[in-house]
Amino acid sequence: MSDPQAVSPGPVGSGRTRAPGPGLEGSTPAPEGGAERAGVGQAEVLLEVHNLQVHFPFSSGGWFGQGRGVVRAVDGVSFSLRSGETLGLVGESGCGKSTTARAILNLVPPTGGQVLWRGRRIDRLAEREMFPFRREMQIIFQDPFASLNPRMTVGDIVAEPMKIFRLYDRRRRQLEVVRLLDQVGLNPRYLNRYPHEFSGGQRQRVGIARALAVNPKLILCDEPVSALDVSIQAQVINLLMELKRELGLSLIFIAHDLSVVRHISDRVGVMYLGRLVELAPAEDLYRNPRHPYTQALLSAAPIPDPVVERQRRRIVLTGDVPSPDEAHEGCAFADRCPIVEFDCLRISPILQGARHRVACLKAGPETGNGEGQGEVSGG
Amino acid sequence: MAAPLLSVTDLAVEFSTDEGKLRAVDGISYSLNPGETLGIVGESGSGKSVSSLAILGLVPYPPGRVTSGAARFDGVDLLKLRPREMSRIRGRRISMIFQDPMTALNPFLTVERQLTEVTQRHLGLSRQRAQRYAIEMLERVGIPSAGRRIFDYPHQFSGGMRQRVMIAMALSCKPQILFADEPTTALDVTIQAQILELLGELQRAEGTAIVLITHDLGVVAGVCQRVNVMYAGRFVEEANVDDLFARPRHPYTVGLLHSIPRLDRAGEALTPIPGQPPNLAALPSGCAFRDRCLRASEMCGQAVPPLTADGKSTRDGVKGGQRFACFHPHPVPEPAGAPTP
Amino acid sequence: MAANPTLHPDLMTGSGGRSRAAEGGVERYEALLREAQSIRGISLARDAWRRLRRNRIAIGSLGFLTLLGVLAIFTPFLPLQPPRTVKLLRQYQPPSLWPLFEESLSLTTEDWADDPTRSRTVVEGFGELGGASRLLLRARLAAFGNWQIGSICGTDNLGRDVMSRLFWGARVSLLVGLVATCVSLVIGVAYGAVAGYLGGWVDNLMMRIVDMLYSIPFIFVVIFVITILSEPSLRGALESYGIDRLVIFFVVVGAIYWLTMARVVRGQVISLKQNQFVEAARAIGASRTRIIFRHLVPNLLSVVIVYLTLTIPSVMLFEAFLSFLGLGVERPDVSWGLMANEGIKVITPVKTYWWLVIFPSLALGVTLFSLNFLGDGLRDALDPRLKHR
Repeated sequence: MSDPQAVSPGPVGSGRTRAPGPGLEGSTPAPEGGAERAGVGQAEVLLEVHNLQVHFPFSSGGWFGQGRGVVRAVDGVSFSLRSGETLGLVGESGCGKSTTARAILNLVPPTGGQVLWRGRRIDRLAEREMFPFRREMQIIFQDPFASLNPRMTVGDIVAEPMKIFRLYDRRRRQLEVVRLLDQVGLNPRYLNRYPHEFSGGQRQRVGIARALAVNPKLILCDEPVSALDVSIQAQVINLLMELKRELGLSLIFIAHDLSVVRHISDRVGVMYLGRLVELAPAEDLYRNPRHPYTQALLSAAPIPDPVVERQRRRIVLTGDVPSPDEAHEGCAFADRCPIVEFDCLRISPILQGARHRVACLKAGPETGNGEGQGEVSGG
Repeated sequence: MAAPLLSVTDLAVEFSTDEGKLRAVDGISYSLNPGETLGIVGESGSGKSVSSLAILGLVPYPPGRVTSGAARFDGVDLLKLRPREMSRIRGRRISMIFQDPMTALNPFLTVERQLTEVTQRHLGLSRQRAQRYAIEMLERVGIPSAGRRIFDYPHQFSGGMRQRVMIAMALSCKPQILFADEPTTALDVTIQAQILELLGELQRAEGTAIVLITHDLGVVAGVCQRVNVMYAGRFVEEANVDDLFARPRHPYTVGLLHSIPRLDRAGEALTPIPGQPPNLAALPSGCAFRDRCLRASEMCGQAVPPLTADGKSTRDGVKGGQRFACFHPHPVPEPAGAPTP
Repeated sequence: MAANPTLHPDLMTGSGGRSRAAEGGVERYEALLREAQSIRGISLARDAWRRLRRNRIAIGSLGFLTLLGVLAIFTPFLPLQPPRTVKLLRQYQPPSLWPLFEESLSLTTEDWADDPTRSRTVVEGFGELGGASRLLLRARLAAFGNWQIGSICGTDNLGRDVMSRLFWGARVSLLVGLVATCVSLVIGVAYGAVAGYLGGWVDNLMMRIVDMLYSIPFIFVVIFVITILSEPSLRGALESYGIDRLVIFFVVVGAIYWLTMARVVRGQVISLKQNQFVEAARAIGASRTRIIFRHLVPNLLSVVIVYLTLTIPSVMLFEAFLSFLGLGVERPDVSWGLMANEGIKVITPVKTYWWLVIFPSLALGVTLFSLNFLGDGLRDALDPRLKHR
C-alpha cells in the first residue's frame, strides 16, 4: 500500500527548501545553532532526574495477595539534560530505559525520586497539572504501526495536539499540518490518507510531525528506528538530527543499537537492570568504556566490516539478564561480570565521577583520554 | 573444492493476495558448499525468508506457490519431493531455526519431548538413548544444568535459552545444512554474541553448512564467507564477504553500507537510501531498485539487469567471483586496500 | 501560548533571505492544502467494504437481508391478503399458483375513520396499526384497489393466507431481533467500556457480577418471568401502562445478551488501552473523554458490528423458541416462531399440512443463515486491520 511518492524525492535534508526553524509560530529562537557536542556545557538545564524509581507491584498468585513482589523497572536513575543536548540511553531489553522515558512524562507514575523540568517538580503531578508541561515534552514511539490511531487520517493525527492545546484557528491548523508534514519529509498532499496506507518509515515521520506540532523543547525518542528497515533507519536518524539542529530541540534517544546511539548522542547513559551504570560524553564512553558491562556490550555489537570483525576479541558474557523482580544486594551485574570481586556482592556501587561517571567498584580512574582496556577495536 | 552441497536454480515463489499475484522470490540461483556460511541479506519484503521456506517445502499453500526452479541436494530435487519424502529430509539432513523460537517450539510439550521426538523418529533411537542424547545436546549448546531443565516447558526458558534449545533441536540429527532465519534478531546484543559464537563452534565441529538469513550487515560481516544481497525477490549482488564490504558494486549494497552508523567511528554522516522499501505489488519496470537509485538511467527501466560479473571485481579467480545485477555499477577503487564505506 | 493572528510577522524572525523563501512557503502550503483536499485516503471502513464486496456469499446475504428489511417495512403497501381475516371455508388450502391474483379485497378507507386522538387504530383483518402503516395501507388501496395476491403459500387452519402472515411475521421477528440486540448493545458496550477503561477493583467487581449472572440458567428464568407476568391480573396492570408481552420480551432478552457483549467490549477496551496510540494521546495531553470517544470507541466498532450480526440471529432464534413454546409473541400478533408452532400443532398422523411448517421455518432459516454469513464476511473483512500491508 505504501506509495513511493508519499515521501518527497531526494534524501532528507539534501538542500531542499524548508520552513524556518521555529515554525510558523515564532516561539523562542533556537539556542544558537551550534548547541553541538562542545557548546552544551553552558546551556540551561532543562530536565533533571534525581533517583527516579518505578516499581511495579505484582502478585505472584494467591487469592489474597500473599506472595506480593515488585518489579524494579527503574531503580534509582539520575541524570540531567541541558537545552540543545542529545542524551542517549542504551541497554538491553528490560533494563528500564523505556520506563524511564514514560516516568519522566508521567505516563507511568514514578514511585520514587524527583523529575524537575526547568527547576519545577513534575513527578506526581495530576493529569490536569501536568497538562502545560505536555506541550514542552513530547515522545516518539517505537512501533509506527501501533502508535497511530488507524481510524484517523494523518492530517487529523498531526492536528490533534494543536486542537487539544487550542492553538490557532482551524484554517491555520491545517496550514500547520501541511508545514509539519513537509518538514518531516512527507508529501503533504496525502494528509487525508490513513496510516495503513503508509510504510513504516513514513508512519514514523507522521509520529515525529505529531510530536513537533506543539513546538516542544524536548523530545523523548523511544527506540524510534528499531522497527524500521536498515535503509529507512538512516532517513529517520538524519531527520531527527536535522530537526534537532533546526529547531534547537533537546533529545533523549533511547535505543538498544549502540552504533545508532553513538551516532546521534552527545552524551550516553548505559542502563542495566533499572540503573545507570555509566554516563559519559559519547566519545569518552565509546573510546574508553569504564564499566565492564559497557565493555562487554560494545565488544558484542557487530561491526559491518569483515576485516575489523576478524580482529576483534569479544567479551562474551555468560548467562542471561537476571529478572528485575528480585532485590539485589551488591552490584546488579555481579553474577555476569568477568572481573567480579568479593566486595561487588556486598556493596552497591553508585555513579561516580565528574565527566565520565561510572557505577563500578573496580573501574579505573577517570582519565582524560585514556586508552582503556575494552576499547572498540578498529576505527 | 567438492561439488556444491545444495544448488538452487531459478527459484521463484508467487503469492496470490488481494492485490493480485506477487512474486516474492523471482528467479534466484545459488550454490552452497559443504561447511561454509552463506549470508542472504535483505530488508523486509525482499523474499529472503520465503526463498528458504520454499526449499524446505514450507511455503504455505495457498496463498504461496513455488512456480519454478530446482533445488538439487544429494542428487534429488527438493522442490519435486512429495511431502512424505521431504519430511524425511527436513529436520534430519536439512534443519531450520527461526527468529522467534516460541513459534517453532510447542508450548504444551516439555523440551525433552520435543528433542527426543526428532531423534527417535529420524535416528531411530530408543527413548532412553534419545533422552541421554538430548541432555548431551543441551549441554553442548550451553544450557546450565541441562539434565534438570530438559523437563521444563519452553516458556520457562529466556529468549536466548529458547534459541539455544532450538539450535540443539535443529542440530541433534547432525544436519548437513542449517537454514538460520534471523536467528538473533529478537535477542539482545550480548545474547546475540553468545548465539553466533555457539553457531560458529558447532559448525566447526560438525561441518554443517549454514545459510544465514539476516538484515544485519554487522552479523554478516562477522560470520559469513559469502553473501547474497537480495532486493524485491532477486539477488542484486553476490560476493565474498571481504569483496562485498570493501568493494560493493550494486548501488543498493552501497546504499545499505552508507546508511548504517558504525560503532567504531564517530561523526560520519549517514547517506540513506531515498524512498521506501519495495512494494511487491507495484514494482517499477526493469530494475526494481530503479526508483530509489541515484545512478539509474533510462536503460534501467527497459530491462531487468542480469546478475553478471565484469572482469574488474573477480578476485583471485576464486569461485566467489563478485557478481551484480546493475547496468551502472559503482566503480572499483583502483588501489585495492582502503575500504570505501 | 502566543497564538499569532497572522502568519507573516512571525516568518520575518529569520534572516532576510530566509523570510522570503518562507513567504513563498506559506503560499506553497496553501497550494498544497488545496491539492490535499482533493485526495482522499481509504479509511479502514472503506477498505473493509472493498474486501467484503469480494465475498460473494456475504454480499448475497447482505442483499437478501436488505430486501427482506425493505419488504418488511413496506409490507402494508404490498397487495397481500389481510393476515388476520379468518375464512373458514378456505381452511388448509395447499400452496398453489392459481389464482395468482384475485379481485376480492373487501377493504375500504371508510372502514376505519382516522381518529387523531389515538395513534393506533384497529383495521379489520390487519389488527392494530400505527400511523405509518395506515398511510401505507391507504397507498396500497390507491395503487392496487381491491386486488390481492392469491394464497400462493396456502392457508392455515383458520383459512388465513400463509404468505401474508409470513410478511407480517417478518416485521415482528426482525423487530424483536433488532430491538433486543440494541438493548443488549447499549447496556453491554457501556458496561464493558467502563469496566475495561477504569480497570482495577472496579473492573474486578463489575466482571464478577457478570460472571454471577452468567451462571444463572437464563432460559428458565425467562420462562419463569414471562409466565408470571402473563398472569391475567399482573398482565392487566402492566398493559394499563402500555407494556405488552413484546416490550417485556425486548427487555428480558436484552438483559441476557448484554453479558457477552460486555465481556467482548471489555476485552477489546483493555487491549486497545495498551495500544501505543492511546499512550500517544495521553502524551499530547488528551483528556479521558477524548481518549474514550476519539480513540477507543471508533476502534471498537468493527468488533461490535461483527458481534451484532451474530447476536441478532441468536435473539431471533430465541424469540422463535419462546413463541414456539407459547411464551413469546402472542396471538393475534404473528411471528415466524409462532407460525411454526401453529403448523406443528395441526400435524396429525392422518394429515400433515407441511406448508404451515416449511415456509416459516424456511424464512427463519434463510434469514439466520444470511445473518451468520454476513457476520462471518464482516469479520474476515474487518479483521486484518493493522496487518494490512
